[in-house]
Amino acid sequence: MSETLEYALLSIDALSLLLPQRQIELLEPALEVRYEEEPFGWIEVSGKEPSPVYCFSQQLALLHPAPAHRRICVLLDAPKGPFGILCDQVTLMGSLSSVPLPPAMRVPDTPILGLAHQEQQVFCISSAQALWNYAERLLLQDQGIQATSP
Amino acid sequence: MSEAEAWLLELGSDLRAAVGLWELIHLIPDPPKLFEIPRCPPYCSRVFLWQEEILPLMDLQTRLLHQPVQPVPKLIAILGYGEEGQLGALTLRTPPLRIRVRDEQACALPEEQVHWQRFTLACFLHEDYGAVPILDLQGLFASP
Repeated sequence: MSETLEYALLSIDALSLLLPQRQIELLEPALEVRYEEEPFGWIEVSGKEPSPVYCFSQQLALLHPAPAHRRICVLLDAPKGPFGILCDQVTLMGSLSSVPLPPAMRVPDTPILGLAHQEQQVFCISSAQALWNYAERLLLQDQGIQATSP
Repeated sequence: MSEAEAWLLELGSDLRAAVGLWELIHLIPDPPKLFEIPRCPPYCSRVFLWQEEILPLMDLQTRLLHQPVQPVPKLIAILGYGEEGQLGALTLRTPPLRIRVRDEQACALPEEQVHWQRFTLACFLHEDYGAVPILDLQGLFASP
């Protein structure tokens, strides 16, 4: 069954990741992200509480420090609060029809929920919630703690 | 005595399996553009576009024997299964061979081919290749 939504395309090296446009709060330059000792950064927008910012590789591993070409911080709206994803480029895609990830490709911890295509290109689809859960699990694994299912 | 037609698939590393005549939908000799999807099982981490559909490409040599994935598949078989006409694809080493299978060729899956068990509907004895499993495509493509 396919679903049609308006997406934003986040380019992360060779990875083309689609997120529903309505889940994006704002775009900020990555230069605004500050780093302390954690494997992620922080961004403060309009005097609000700082939000965590994650940088992923094209294989969706956490990258720290972030490479210089991740120039844009996309602030996403998740139930536990806003958080950022660094990417190289953001493109508004308009409506795209999507299909769920084929069952043989699904593993429990994947943040990839579906696939879409346009003009001979295939894109991965995720959501703010799925990326938040995924980043949280990676951080727990980093600390040697077994993550529980969301 | 009944007889059915099937395709014998050469999957690499001496792995062979059969599918029903109507389950093989199309063969792609020139590799299409493959798209790598992150965080997927290594045996099924690529998709491609075929007739406006996104199809998963599975390498059974990797799935069953943990061999490395063929970076550029020599041949891709598009297979149809299930009541809704779902499609999936397998990498092949050589073009499939059209064969006839008779009831009396039925045999048990040999112990040394136990890795096939989850994905096999039945097994038959081929005069050249010994025991050949018949693929359960639904089982193969419906779960990681």
